Amino acid sequence: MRKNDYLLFVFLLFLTGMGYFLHSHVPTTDGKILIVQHGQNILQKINLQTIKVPTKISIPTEHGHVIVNIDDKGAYVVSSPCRDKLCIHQGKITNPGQTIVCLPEKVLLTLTATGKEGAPDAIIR
Amino acid sequence: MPSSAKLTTQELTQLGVLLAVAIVLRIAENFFPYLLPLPGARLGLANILTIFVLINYGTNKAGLFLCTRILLVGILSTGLFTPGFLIGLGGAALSFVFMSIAVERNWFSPIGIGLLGAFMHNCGQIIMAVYLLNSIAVFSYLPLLIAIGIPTGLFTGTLANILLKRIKTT
Repeated sequence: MRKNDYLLFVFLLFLTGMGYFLHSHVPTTDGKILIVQHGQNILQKINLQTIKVPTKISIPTEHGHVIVNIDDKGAYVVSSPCRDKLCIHQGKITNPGQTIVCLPEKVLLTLTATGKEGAPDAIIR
Repeated sequence: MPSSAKLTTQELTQLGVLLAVAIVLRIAENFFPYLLPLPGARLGLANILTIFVLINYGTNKAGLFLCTRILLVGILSTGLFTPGFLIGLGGAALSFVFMSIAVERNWFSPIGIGLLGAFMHNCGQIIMAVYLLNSIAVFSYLPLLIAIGIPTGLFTGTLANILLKRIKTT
């Protein structure tokens, strides 16, 4: 190991630390919106506050259907026709900013906070 | 390929053997997808061979070596131009560019090259995934990928270092 190697190592550790810091400081408001995407189309935007009982939604893909379970806290993939099932193993997402990706089926589930998109940050009177 | 004209028979043979090892390592990794807890995350064992070839044979031949490996692994295992293939390609391309610059400028020891390669591979993968899925939300994976890339980069870099000491090419 040379001095430069250590510098690179420390730099990467710093980047990771920064990333986790930013991640944990994403504002968590009560309202969460689940954005369901297939490929580049947004199929649905679901406000999780309106979901009172756990609901299953089905996303049609090239190879079948990706089944996603949503409730008022978050969402997780129940079943998927893809080979490696990584999206299922990713478990449940509950915080805004988190995503579940199923690359083989091109399905993307994103949680965002309500009011973030389109709404103004502040109103001047 | 312009660089292939300068290949001697001996180099061609050596690169062929190394290529076979790299392909086997790359495909063998597919059998342990849950070794690391994230989609697209791998140990990057084949990168050991890329570092070895890059340092011993130079950028041109290593580029040829890497292209051949990616193409053959694509045909043999992942399938050409599938999303997974393209994301791997993005990672490989970016990491190769940075590793070859670092080797030519002599910035790091092989261990540092391994770290740099793993880090840039992650960045390239994310950039390609952002492009394919058309969503910047994928960037939220990057800190985790970088964190995983540190131990795997150190691991492959160390192995490449050992390999470079043990095997002397002519």
